[in-house]
Amino acid sequence: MQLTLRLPDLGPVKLLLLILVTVALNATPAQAQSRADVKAIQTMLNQLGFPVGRPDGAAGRKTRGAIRNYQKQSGLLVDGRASRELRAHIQQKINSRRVATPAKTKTRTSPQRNTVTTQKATTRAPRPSSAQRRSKGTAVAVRAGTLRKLPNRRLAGISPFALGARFDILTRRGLWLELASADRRVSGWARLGSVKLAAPTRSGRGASVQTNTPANQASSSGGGLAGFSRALTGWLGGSSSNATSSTATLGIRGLTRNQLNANGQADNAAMARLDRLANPRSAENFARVGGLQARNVPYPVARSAPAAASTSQPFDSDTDDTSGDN
Amino acid sequence: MSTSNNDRCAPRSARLVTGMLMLALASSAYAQLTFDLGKILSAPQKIQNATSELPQDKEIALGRGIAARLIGAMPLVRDEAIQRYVNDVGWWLVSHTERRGLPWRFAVTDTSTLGAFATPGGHVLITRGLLALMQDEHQLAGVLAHEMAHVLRKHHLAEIMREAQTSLASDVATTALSFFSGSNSTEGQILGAIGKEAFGAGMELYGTGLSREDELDADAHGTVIATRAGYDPAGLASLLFTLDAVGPNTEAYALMSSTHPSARDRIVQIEAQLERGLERHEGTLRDEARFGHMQQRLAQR
Repeated sequence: MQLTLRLPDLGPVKLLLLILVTVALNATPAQAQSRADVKAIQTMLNQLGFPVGRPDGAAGRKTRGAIRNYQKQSGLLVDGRASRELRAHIQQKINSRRVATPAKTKTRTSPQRNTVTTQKATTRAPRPSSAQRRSKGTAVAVRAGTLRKLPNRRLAGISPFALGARFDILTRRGLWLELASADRRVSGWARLGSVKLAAPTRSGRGASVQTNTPANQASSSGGGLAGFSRALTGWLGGSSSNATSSTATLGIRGLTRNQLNANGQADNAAMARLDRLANPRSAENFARVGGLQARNVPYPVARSAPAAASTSQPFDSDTDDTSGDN
Repeated sequence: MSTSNNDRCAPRSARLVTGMLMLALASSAYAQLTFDLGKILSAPQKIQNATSELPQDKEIALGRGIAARLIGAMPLVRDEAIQRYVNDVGWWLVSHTERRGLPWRFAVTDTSTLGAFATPGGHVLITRGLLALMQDEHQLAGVLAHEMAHVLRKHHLAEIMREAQTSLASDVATTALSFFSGSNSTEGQILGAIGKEAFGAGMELYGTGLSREDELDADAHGTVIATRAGYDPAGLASLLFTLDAVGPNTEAYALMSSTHPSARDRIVQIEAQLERGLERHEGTLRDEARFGHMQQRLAQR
C-alpha cells in the first residue's frame, strides 16, 4: 500500500502553525482578565452568595477567595483566577437558576401575580433569557423523573415528568441536560440516562410536556435516517456539519472476517507511520496548553464489571421501560 | 483443520499417537495424563502455560500484527495534524495508566463507519466517522480510554487465547507429532504455532466483539482513566447518548456493538459509577477550540 503523507513539504510548517494557533487560542481565555470581566464575575458571585463586597473590577484577596469557594462548590479546578472561562461558567449557572426559579419567587416579581395560585412553577411564563435560547435537539423521556433547578441530584425536583415527555435540549453539562418544553414554560435539569435523543418536533407546536408513551416515541424515532440526521445535526450543533455526511453513509457494512481476509493485507508502511507519530513528550505539552489537570482517582474495586452491574440494579428496576422502548 | 494434512504426511505410528492425544485432550484437557507418552504430553502442558501467561513482547507482536491487518482493510486518514491530535490525547491518557511502558499507537482510520478498536499491546484505532460524530475532546478521551482499558485489562488477549486453545487440539497434535518424530521443537516454535492460531482467532474477534462484561469493565476503567487525565468523566457516556440515537439497527453502529451491551445500559452504569465519587468532576470546562479545528480539517478532506 502506498500510504505516504499528502502534505510532505508543508507538513512541519503547517504543524507549527497549528500549534501556534492552538497556543494563542488557548492562552487568551485564561489571561483575558479585563476589568469588565472581573467586575461581571464579582457581581455574579455576590448574586450567588459568594460575597466579594462592592464590585470594583480588581481581583483582590476577597474576590480570589470567593472564586475559590465557587470553584470548590462547582467541582472546578480551584485556582482563584478570574478567567473568562470562569465568567462563562458563572453566567451559565445564573442563567440556569433563572430558568428554573420556582413560582413562589417568581410571583413576587411578576406583574400578573394574581393569576398564579396553587399551580407549580412550571406553568409560569419563562423569563426572556430561557425563551430565547435555541434548542440543541429533542429529547424524549425513557423513564419517569423530575427536572431539577440546578444540575445537582441532591436538590429536590421542581417538575416531575412522565415517560415519553418531550423536551428541547438547551445545554449539556457532564451527564446533565438542561431541558425545556417547546414553549419554554417548563425547564430544568435531568440526568442523561433518563432521556434519549429523538427527532425534533415541528417548532411552534405550542404543546408543553407531552405525556404520551411508546407510540409517540416510535413515530418520533421512526423518521428514518433523514429524521435521525436532522436530530443529530441539531444536537451536535453547527460545527459538525460532517456528522450528517457520516450518518448518510450509515448503511456501510462493518468489518467482517471475510472483508478482512479479502482486503486485509498487513499494511506495514502505515504501521511505520504510526511509530513516528507516537510521542509521549508532545502529549505533556498538549495537556498543559489545554489546561488539563491530572487527578488522583482510584480504579473501581476488583471485579468491577459484575460489581458495577449489580449495584446498578436499582436503576434497572427504574428503567424497565427503557428495554421495552428499544 | 490441518489434521488431514498431517495424516497425509505422517508415519503410521505417529498417526496412532495423534489419535490418542486428540482423544485425551477431548475427554479431559486439564487432567493429569500418566502414561508413557510423558515426553510428548509435556508439550501441551507448555502450551497451557504459554497461553495463560503470554509474555509482553509476544502480546505486542500479536497485537501489532492484527493492527497492521486492520489498517490494511481500513487505511489511515492522510492528515498528520489529525493523527497527531489523536496521538496527543491518547498519550496524555497513557501517562495515567499502569502500562506506560507499552509501545502505544493511536490511529484514525479513513472509514465513515462508527467504530473504535484496540488490539493487544496498545494499538488503538478510531474511525473517521466516530471522530466526526463527537462533540468535544472529552468524548474522544472517553473512547480512547475505553479502548485502552481493553488493552490494560487484556480483554482481547484473554479472548484470543481462549479461542486459540479451543482450536489448538489439532496443532497440539502437530507439535506432539514433531516431538515424537525426533525433530527438535523449541518452545519458540510452539509459541509460533499458537501465534498463528491466535492470529486467526484475533481477526475473527474483530468481527464478533467482546463479551458484555468486558465492555462494561472497559467503560468503568476507561471513565476513571479519562477523569485522571483531567477530562470530564461524562465524556464516554455523553457520546453513548448520541450513539443511542444512531440506533443499534444500523450496521455501522453494529460494528461497534455487536455484542456490546446497549448504549442505554452503559450510560446507566456509568451514571451509577459517577455517583460513587466522580460526580464533582462532571462538567469540566475546557477551551474546545483545538477540537473544533481538528474536526474542521476532518470535514474539509
